[in-house]
Amino acid sequence: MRLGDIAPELVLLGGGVVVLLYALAAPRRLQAGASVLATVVLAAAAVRTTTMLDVEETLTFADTYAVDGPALWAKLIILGTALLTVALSTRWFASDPRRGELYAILVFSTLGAVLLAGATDLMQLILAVLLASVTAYVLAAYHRRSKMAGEAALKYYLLGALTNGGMLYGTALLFGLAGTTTLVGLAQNVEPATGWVAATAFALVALGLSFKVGSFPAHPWVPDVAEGAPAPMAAFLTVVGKVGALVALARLASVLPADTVGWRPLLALLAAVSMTLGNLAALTQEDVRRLLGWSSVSQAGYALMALVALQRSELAVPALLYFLLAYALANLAAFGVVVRLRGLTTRSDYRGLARRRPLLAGALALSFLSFIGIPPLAGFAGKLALFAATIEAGYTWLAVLAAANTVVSVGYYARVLAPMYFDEASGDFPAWDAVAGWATAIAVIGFVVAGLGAEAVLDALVGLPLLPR
Amino acid sequence: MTVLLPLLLPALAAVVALSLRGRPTAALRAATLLLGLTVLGALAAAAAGGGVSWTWGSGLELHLRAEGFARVMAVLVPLIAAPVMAYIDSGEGPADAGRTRLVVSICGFVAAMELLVLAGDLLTLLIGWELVGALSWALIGFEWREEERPRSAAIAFLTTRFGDLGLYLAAAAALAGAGSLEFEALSTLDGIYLHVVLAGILVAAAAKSAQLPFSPWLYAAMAGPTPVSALLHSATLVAAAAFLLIRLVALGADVGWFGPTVAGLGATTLVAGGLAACVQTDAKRVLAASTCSQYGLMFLAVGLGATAAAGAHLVAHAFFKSLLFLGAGVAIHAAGTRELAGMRLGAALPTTAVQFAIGALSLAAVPLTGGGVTKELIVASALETSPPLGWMILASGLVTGAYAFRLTVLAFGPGSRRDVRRPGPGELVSLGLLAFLSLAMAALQLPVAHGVRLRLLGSAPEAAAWELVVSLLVLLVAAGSIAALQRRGALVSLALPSRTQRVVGEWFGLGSLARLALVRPVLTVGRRLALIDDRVVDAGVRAAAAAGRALSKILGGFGERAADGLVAGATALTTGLAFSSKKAGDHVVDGVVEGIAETTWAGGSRSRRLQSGMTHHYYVIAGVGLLAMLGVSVLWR
Amino acid sequence: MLTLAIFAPLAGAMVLFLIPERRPMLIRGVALGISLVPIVFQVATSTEFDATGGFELVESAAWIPTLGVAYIVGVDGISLPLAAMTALVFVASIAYPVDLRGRPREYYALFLFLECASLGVFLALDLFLFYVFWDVSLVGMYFLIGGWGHGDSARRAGLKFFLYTLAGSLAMLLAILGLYLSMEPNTFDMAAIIDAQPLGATGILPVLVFTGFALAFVVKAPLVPFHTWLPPAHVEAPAPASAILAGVLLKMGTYGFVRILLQMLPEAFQRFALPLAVLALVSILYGALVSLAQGHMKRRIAYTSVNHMGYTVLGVAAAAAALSGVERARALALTGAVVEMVAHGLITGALFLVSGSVWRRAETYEIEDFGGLAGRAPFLMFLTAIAAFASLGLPGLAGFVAEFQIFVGTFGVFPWIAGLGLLGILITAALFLQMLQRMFLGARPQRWDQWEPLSRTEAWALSTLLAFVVLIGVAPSWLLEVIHATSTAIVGP
Repeated sequence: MRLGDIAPELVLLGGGVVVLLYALAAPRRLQAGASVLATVVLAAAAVRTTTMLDVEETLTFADTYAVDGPALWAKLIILGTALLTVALSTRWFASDPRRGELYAILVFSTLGAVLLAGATDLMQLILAVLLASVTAYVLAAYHRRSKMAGEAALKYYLLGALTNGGMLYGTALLFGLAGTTTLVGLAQNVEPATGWVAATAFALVALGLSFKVGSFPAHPWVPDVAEGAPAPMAAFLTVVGKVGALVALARLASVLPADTVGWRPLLALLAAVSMTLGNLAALTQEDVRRLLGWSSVSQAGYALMALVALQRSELAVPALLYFLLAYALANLAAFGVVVRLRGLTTRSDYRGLARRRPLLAGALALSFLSFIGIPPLAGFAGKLALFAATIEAGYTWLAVLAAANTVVSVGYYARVLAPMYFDEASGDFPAWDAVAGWATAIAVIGFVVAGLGAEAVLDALVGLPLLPR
Repeated sequence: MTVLLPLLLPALAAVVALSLRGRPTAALRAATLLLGLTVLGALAAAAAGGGVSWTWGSGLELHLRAEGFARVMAVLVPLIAAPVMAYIDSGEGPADAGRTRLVVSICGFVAAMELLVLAGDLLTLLIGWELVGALSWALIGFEWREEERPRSAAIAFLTTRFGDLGLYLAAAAALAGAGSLEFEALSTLDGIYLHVVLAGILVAAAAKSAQLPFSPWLYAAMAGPTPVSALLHSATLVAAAAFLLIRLVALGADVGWFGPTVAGLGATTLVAGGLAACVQTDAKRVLAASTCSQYGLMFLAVGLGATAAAGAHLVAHAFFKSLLFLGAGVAIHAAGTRELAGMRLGAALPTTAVQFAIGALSLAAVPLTGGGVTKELIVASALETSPPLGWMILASGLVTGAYAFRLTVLAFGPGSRRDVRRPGPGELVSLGLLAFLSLAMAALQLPVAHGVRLRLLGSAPEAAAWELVVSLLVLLVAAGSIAALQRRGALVSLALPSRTQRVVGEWFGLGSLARLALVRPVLTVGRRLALIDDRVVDAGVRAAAAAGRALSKILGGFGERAADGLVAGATALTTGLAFSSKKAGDHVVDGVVEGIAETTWAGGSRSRRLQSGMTHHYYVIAGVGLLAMLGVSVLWR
Repeated sequence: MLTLAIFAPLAGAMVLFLIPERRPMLIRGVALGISLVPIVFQVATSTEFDATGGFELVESAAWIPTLGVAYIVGVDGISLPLAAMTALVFVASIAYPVDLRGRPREYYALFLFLECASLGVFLALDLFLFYVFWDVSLVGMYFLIGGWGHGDSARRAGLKFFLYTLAGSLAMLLAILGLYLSMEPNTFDMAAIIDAQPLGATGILPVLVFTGFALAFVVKAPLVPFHTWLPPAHVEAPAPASAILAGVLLKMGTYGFVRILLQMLPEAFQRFALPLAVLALVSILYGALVSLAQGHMKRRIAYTSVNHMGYTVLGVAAAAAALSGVERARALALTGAVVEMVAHGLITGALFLVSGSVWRRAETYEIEDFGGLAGRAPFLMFLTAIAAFASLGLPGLAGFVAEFQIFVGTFGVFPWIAGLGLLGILITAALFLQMLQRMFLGARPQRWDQWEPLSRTEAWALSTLLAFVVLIGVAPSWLLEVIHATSTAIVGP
């Protein structure tokens, strides 16, 4: 137990407090300084995390927290997302006189997601989920006067309350079975005879985590938030929870006996329903943000495939992390374009964008193509690894379903791309300052480079254990 | 290498003519000259014998060989083509660049024919064979501005190409059975492959030489200019079939069905073609039907084993048939119509009339003409191997004589001395040359030519004197009946009901039957399939797309206005099904499917707004999901 | 060298954006110049090519070793002619004048991008790389059809093409993974997989993998009944894009049949050879018959592609049937199939370009609207006739070289199917003669009295393609020897 093991988390915590104090103290015209501060904090945490990449993997704080590859990589993805989100949001909230607080909440929300990724104890997990959720509700509703944002946040909250409650109950059940809440303890103490109770408990916890993942059955908030929340926050919320919660879910599943709990078919069910539901529902959306929300549900489904392959394929963990990286970057790029275009939202508004603003159109097109999984973008290598892992795990049907879903997904992406490229523009496209543009560009370059140079990333991910001994 | 001469010279002629396209007359003369040289080249090649081969690829080689009957044929082709070309000089055809197109095509055609003739393997043969067919399309459709002619050209090409499929099959079977396509290697064939090869060759030959039931295409081929018809019918396209049979007949020696089938086919066409020729009132069609009939005679001879006699008759036929066509061309040009009813140009064109008459006598096989001599050879052989068929051939002279005499009388019979277009020098010379050759063939019968005869024909049986007498008697009867009809003034109509005359003249309705039983069904099937393709084959894809959208409505609106989506989806599906089962046009079906999609879309868009959502539905989803998760994880672990 | 040939067009596509948009002719010139680069490189490499039957001129580099992915390109007797044909068809298509809709840079950049992808598919020797190029080509073609097609329906047609072929290609992706996972150690290296033959004929896995690949290839080729994306895509695409689609993209499917199914899964293919041959036969006859009923010039040509790809697959299926004693016939059928790919690329490319010339002058594709054009456009008629006769398999032109070998070879394996398939060449003859006759011969409607003669560019582009059609037809040995060496090596002694 070294304090250094949780240095990034401490940086975030302390930094969050500093940002909050600054926001409270600073006059209106200096509120923008909060975003700079937040950037510094997030960057510092990221740098600290990077330096930890080559330390020995270990469990710390009485086995409640992991310092290992999956956690660190997940943290990097989360922190990177948060950094880009800050860049996307500077102009968006410029008219808000009290925007400094937003950045404090953003940092705390990031902390919640980071803790999710590292948690190896169910109580710890619950704390992380709650921290992440509570802050997320605020971020979603930050436009206080917007009815839409308010409604989205309220639904978000109501659904979160239900699923978090379920998660608490599940944790209690597991504690009753094993007498401990640490994953190490669960791995040793869950008796095969207690089959259906353990299964119920896992299902309840998985329900709670599926809320953060944004997958079936706790997915309905995703499209609402994507459409209603401030666009930069929508980008943030659809990504970070996914990253943290999927790593947590993977850890939990991997310690439970698969033959007793049946988590593999359960997760396969979640994956299958999520991807199918998300894709089909996205098909007829007219609102680009809502479409991105549904697409996020389906992407969560793809990512869950990696969990199905846990322990059966060496590719499972690398596939999960790589896919999440690819998804995070493409999602940020897509929302980045929306932000840059001042929140342009209806499909028909994008008509002729390619003529007037070829770079923005190109960014959106590339991010969509990465979502589809067109090579050589990162989304392709991610899907390939996922498919390979799933097939190796004996879930060929799931891979086939995912392939079929990919075909369906082309339908709605093309519904945006086609008018964007093939129609004449009816008017001009007013855009906001370049910061969002640069952030978008970084994200695009990110998923293109990660696609072409997949080796560098995958090499680092292969062989990471989910629970260090 | 001399074997290449007959091939390269006409090709050169084509190139030269093409390069002289601005000066049609010069082009024509150069081509005529080069075709004349081709005769010499072919003679040299025939004398030298030997062959060349050329790597084609994939272990296959092309062979040219001057051997057997090919040596005769290689000479015969330019020997006919040169006068035909000379005939164009002053004869038919436009005097502009279009005529150069004719000249170039004919030269190319001759080259292709030489390739066919000199082929030493089935691949080379097939190449020549198909090229001849395709070029005949260009030649027959020469006057492309008239709607009907290209169509006739297509009929001719397609019918003969149907036969070509037989050659493809033969080549395939030869390679499978003998491992080689060379003619020599074919003798090692046996079993089923041998049968396939022979059947393939027979089909190809029958189609090309317009034997029954393929005969009607020759009428279509009449759409070409007269010189083209003269060339096609005498020594090239149609002759290729008989040539092929003669060249490869040895293959069928031990196959029981082959000889009788060929003979039977020939005999039938001999009679049917003769009858059709007798009643036709179109000058060129009489000759076309006569061509079928004459090749029928050659088939019959080959089937009976009288190969040499068949070859001899092929040569004789080439001379007199090209002569007759060119003569008919002069008559048609002068009369301005192909109908026999209004011709009778004997007084107006006496020279041509005499030349034509020589051809007609040879066609009727009057003794001491080329045709007469060679037909006697066939009769003699036939009487030896199969007397009934021999007698049948003798009797068929009645029909042949009848239409030959009828045609001559109608076209060049005594009539008024009208002022009509006179043949030019080119026409006169070429007709004269061909008439001379038709008569000169008879020299084979002279004692002097005994040596030549033995070399060319082997020890073919000689015709007995009584056979000659019978032939003459038959011809006399034919001439008598024509004279009788002439006196009654019924030579054109033959005193037949016009319907009968039309049906018999049009190959007993065979052409209409083919259209009805073959062409139309194929076109109909094509159209039906196209409809099915648009409506049914693609319907699965379209239905999947529509179902996806409908499902999307339901799922997207689930928890919002699920019931609406369900209803819309169900409506879309039922209406879609109802309509696709109706026999509506493809546009309708398409339109309906897409229309429904549009409507559902519009209906769905109202239900998609965030504000209409109800949170308790989210709880339902979460609850149902949890139950499903439990079920799966407990039951399916 | 091969790498340069593949990526030079891609680099060139970027260069185009440096030229101002208002100079379309300059952009076209530059694009044309760039498209010549792959030809130059290929000619240069082909001097080092020995036709040993195996892969030559291999270039490789590590890419994602963790996943067993490498960058490997190389050629054998099958891919070399296809790549050369691809480069040639691209040159002609890029040169061909077309309505640019005011976006010349994007148009030509997409073409060059597509050229990169197409060459990549034929030259890649790593399944991952192969798939990358394969999928990328879909995207390029989708934007070409949607952006420069003939109207609103172009978008729907483009999407249909994209969805349909992507569905196939995802099936292929899963099949690739099946192959990949069956290799020890896991690798995408084609040559290694061909050597190892990791999947036998027993069990469900080879069947699944085979089905996945076959699905992708029959959709792409396409065979009946997976062809319904083809006619709308062809009808709506701008003519040069149609030429690429028919000339190059369809070949990817048939190439996959040879390279992957025949070489990597021969035992599984053997079990499916007969059904596949029957499917090919259906395509031959169905494609020809449906084409005969089309009144729309492009649809008519499009359906003949179904027919011709049927011949190709028939040849490959015959080669896959392992009957001992008929190796010669099988090798012949395979050689014929590969020649058919090359020939069809050149011929159909030319035919679609002709349709482009017709559209530019008439703005209609309905065959019935025309007539007697030979009088105004004799050279166009001449070139069309050559292409049409080549397509119907006339000796002396490339189509015959292919079809003769396919039939003769297939006859040794499946005599009945070969025999019935022959009817296809009769129907094809009918449909092309009818088209020639209705468009170019007969009386000319007055509205075409001002028909412009072919421009120099059009004439050159068409003549170049057709010159190779004639060359292959008249003297095929240089091509056949190269292909046959590999065919023999694949089929076995």
